[in-house]
Order: sequence, then C-alpha cells, then structure tokens
Amino acid sequence: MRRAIVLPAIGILGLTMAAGCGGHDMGASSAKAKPLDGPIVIGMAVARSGFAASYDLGPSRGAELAVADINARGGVLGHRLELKYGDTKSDRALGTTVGIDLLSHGAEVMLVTCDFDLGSPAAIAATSKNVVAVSPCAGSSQFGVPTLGPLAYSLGTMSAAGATNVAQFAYDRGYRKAYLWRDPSVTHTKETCSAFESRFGSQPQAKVVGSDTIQQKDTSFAGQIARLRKSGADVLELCSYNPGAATALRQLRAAGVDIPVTSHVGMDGDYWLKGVPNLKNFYYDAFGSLYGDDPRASVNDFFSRYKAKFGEPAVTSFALTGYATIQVIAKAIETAQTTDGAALAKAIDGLGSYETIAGPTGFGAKQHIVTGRPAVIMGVEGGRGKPVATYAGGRKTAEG
Amino acid sequence: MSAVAQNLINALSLGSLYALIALGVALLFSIMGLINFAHGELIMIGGYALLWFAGLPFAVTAVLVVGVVIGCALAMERAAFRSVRGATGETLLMTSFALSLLVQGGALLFEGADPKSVDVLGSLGASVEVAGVSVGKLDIAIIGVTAVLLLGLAWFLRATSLGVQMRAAAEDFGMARALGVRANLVVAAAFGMSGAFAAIAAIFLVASTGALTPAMGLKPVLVGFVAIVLGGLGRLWAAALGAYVLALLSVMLQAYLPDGVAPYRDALVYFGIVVILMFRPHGIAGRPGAVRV
Repeated sequence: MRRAIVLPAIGILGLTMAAGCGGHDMGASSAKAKPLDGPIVIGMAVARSGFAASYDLGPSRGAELAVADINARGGVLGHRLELKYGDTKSDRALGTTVGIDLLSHGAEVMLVTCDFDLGSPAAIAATSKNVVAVSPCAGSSQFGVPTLGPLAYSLGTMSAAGATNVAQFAYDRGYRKAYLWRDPSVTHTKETCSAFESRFGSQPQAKVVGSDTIQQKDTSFAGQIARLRKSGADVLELCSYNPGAATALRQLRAAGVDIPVTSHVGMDGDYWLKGVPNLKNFYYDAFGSLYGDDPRASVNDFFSRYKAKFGEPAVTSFALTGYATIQVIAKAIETAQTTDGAALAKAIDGLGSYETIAGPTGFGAKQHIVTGRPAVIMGVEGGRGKPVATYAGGRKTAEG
Repeated sequence: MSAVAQNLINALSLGSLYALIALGVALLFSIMGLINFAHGELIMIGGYALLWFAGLPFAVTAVLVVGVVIGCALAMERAAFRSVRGATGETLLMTSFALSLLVQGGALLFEGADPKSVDVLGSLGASVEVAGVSVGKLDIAIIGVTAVLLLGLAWFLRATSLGVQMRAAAEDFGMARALGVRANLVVAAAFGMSGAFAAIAAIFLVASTGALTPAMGLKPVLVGFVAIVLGGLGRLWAAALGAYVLALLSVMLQAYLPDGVAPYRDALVYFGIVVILMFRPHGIAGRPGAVRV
C-alpha cells in the first residue's frame, strides 16, 4: 500500500521537478518568488478524528500556542500567521483530498500528521504544488528527501537516533544482555529495534541475547514472556506502541519479570499507566518532561501555558514539536521573505542548528528529519515518569 | 517438555477466552441465522463499563458490567434486529454492520479516540509454578470460569424449558413457533445470554490487556467468527472446539516459527485454517446443512 502511494508520488515529484527546472530552481526561486500578501495561511492536514487524532492533538495545540505568540509579537515580517484545519480522519486516502482542499483555500505551508504512513499523502499533495510540508513529529527515516522529495520535513527525532540514545543509556546503566520485543506493524518500531540492536550489540561485553515478535492486537504474550525469562537477559527493549505495548508490559510484570524495560518516545505520557499498576524500571526517550520537572525552564513554562489555555494538561511531550515546527517555519519565512516552496526549503536547510522549544533543530539539503536533538530519558517509578538523564547523538550530555 | 506444557497451558487460556467470544456469537447464529458483528461492540461496552464502575468491589463491578451489557444486547435486539427478524442473511448481516459502526461511533463521541487504561483483577496478576511451568492465576480463572460456563450452558439447553425451546427454535424456527414456542422470549433469551458471554469475555480481556479503545471489539469478534467456521457452523460445542484449535495454532506458531517468519504468524494461522477447511468444508465437527444447539 505504501509503495502504491509513494511510487506515483516520486513520479509526480520527478515530473514536477523535470518540467519546472526553471520555475523551481533552488538557486533562482527567491528572486522569482511571489511576495507575501495578507496573512500567511498554514494548512493543518491532521487527524482530528479516528485513532491518530490523539497523536495529532498535542502538536496541533502546540502550533496554536506558537502562532498566538508570534502574532502577539507582530507576526512574521508584519504578516499574521493563520492556521486552517482539515480533518484527514486518520485515513491515508483522505490525506490527499484534505491536502488539496487546504491548498485551494490558500495554504502556503502544510503541517501533516505525525506519522509517515498517514502524513505522506497530504505531504505529497503539498510538495507537488511547490508547497513545503512539515510533520511535527514523524520519526521514520522515510520522511526525508529520497522518499518525499526536497520540500518535505519532519521535526520528529529519527527513530534510529532515539533508539541509539536509549541503547547507550541502557549500556551506561550497566545492562549487558538485552532482549528485543519487535512489533513489525509500523516502520518506526522496526527501525527502533534495529538501531537499538546495532548500538547495544556493538558495545564492549554487551550482547543482544534474543528477540521475539509481538503483535499489536494480541491478547496474550505468555509465550514471549516464558522465552524472555529463559534467556537470562538483564534488560528488555520494547519496540512497540500502545495499546499493545501496555498490554505486553502489564502481562510481563504480572508474570513476575521485573527486569528493566527500555522503550521509545511513542510510550511518552501517563495516560496508559493505570493499566500497569505501580510500574517501575521503565525508561524511554522523550522530547521533554511534561510533569513540570524538565531541566529546561522554557519547557516547563510551555506545559503550564498549555494547561492554562486548553483547560487540560498535555497528554505527551509531542506537543513541543508543534510549537517548534511553527518556530522553524516562521524563521525560514523571515529569511526567505516568501513562502515559495523551493525558496522556503532552502531557508530551512540553511538555518543550521536552530534553537527551538524542543531543543536545537538542524536540517541539511539531504537531511530533512532531526537526528542530533537532545532527548530527555524518562524513568517511570511508582507509576510516574521523571527525567533521569539527557542524551544526544548517542552520548550522555546531562544528568536528570 | 516443560516448554511444550507451557505452550499448551497458554493455548488453553487463550482458547478459553476465544471460546467465550465464539459462544456469544454462535448462540445468535444458531437460533436466528444472525452473524452479529455488533457483538464486538458489546465487548467494547463491557470494557468501558469496567472503567465506569472502577473503584467498587470487584463482585459489584462484575454484576453491574454484566447487567449493562445484557441490557445493551436486549436493546439491540428490540431496536435493530426485531424488525428484520426472518429477513435474509444479507439483510441481517448489513444490519449488524450498521449497528456496529453506530455504536463504535458513539463510543468515539463520548469516550474519545485516546486509548484508556484500567486495572481489573490486578490481584490475579501473579503466577504460580507447577512442575517448571509458570501458570498465571488469571489464566486459571479464565480456564475455570469458561469450563463452568460451558457446562452450565449445556445443562441449561438440555434441562430447562427455555433451553429446550431454544434448541427447538434452532432446529426449525417456524415449526417451533407453530408448536407454541414464544419467538420473542426465545430470541430475547438468546440475546441476553450472548450479552452475558460478551460481558464476561470483556472482563477477562481487559484483565489481560488493561487497555480500552473504541475499536477493541473488532479483533475478538473476528476471532469468534473464525472459531465458529473452523469448529463447524450451528453447533455450540463445535464453536468452543474451533476456539481452542485456533488458539493452539496461534500459540504453537508463535513459539516455534523462526524470527524472520514470526511477523507472518497470523497469515500462517489462517493458511492452516484454509487447509483444515479444504478437508473438512463444514468445519471440524460440522455437518452439511446442520443447525443445532
């Protein structure tokens, strides 16, 4: 299915670029780009209903906070930012329709769903019309230039980069025998386990002693738990997501297996912890702590403002990436002085290590997803998460 | 040897859960010829009811959950299925699809799309070691309760007046009515019992997973249908047999497939079912044209 979507898209992009050698030339487009006129409309082709709505809600609200802040300071080059929503209903097929609809309503930049599979249709609809598309937090390496072309970006941390940090954290804690639970249902979890295995297995005296497949909709993980128990592993890397991951964890702890479990940013938040009572020894990487104890004051301030504005606390730290996305877009428009796709992409690529609320974010001409951003490693003890260390590029940069 | 025993225990526990689901679906199919896709939504309602009544003593919660789900099953019968009783299988199927989507949409509206979590039967979380085999207390509860319910159902259908009427209706609904069997009572009883099975399945499902989503009933109800077809259409005990065979296939493949092939476990399970149905087209214990309770 993905290939069916992506291959025609590559074809369309190829034709667009070939036919428009003069029109969208990266070097010349600034001069030809249309000047800014009226409010700058940012299309929000996100899931507002269906299963992905819970993933998109936080980043969308983060984007709203950023737009309010920027407009309060006078907008970008004197132009107000305006968000225009379309609901993809968590349906890949609708992504294209919603993207095209938002373009027809004047969208000059497009925000898309936090997942490659769901976000790429709207991204392709935008980029094929020379409009920059950004996913606030897609983690798949496919969200990049080779697959989606030079106008698509993700402010998410690449799955492999996150897993490398977590693998190093596990090694630094003294664990030497890792066991992997692989969930093959999405690209993000597959890439997470591969990168963890590669990093952890390459450390001195460390070894991946076994692995098992877990399926998202399984109701029993008894077999996997029995094999893990026999393996003698001292840490489990759980490459899955909720609700399946919480189910596996619940059954693991119920079976009396209390070895440390490491996981990834998809397990951020406390909404699922009631299902695994008194969970401890569980670690994952996050964009930040949403409990008011992040090492960065700006992050704590963000989450308290989020709660004040929306009347409820953020569910996950993904909300930070929505804010960061608007920060990057605003800065790039300021630099390019246009929203023309090619010129804006050139400006984003040229931002270098740009400081956002989610940490420094840097892109290059061939690197359109974040890799080096610091990750806060969260530890869950007694059913509550708290920051235990900060890692970046596979090494510890700070305690707590 | 202990690995095989461990896998057999796991299969027995999973098969018991599948059997609870399959029996709820099979009851209505036997009597009305209705393939009720909305049965998954009864399980989902049972799951959320556990969240609504969380904090009460478990026995009270369980009674309330069973009551709510039976009430919903009876309401489904009265509001959606009574007016199409006797219609073709296609009409009944479409009605159940529509009802399923409607109830799921309602859950999305009132409970939201976010997965929710609840701790049910946490006290049964521990395991006991028996001859090198780790058996969860929850697994023992699932296996035991299912066995009691299966025996109870068999007794009810053979030893009570209502049970005999239900069996007669399953043989020939028209003739049974002509002989004085009250159709409304028999069908309502079937829906009520189906609801009770859904509620108990929901309790054990949520006790195992701890997770709630509006779409949580979809996979169980599909498993239930597959178990019925595999066991043999129209016989209640065959549906339970199909559930245990399905669970055994799934657990054994999960245990012994090499790593690279493991992600395709479900495909291989269904391939195995196709092979069984090639040799036993009416299911393992099915008979051509037979509809019996």
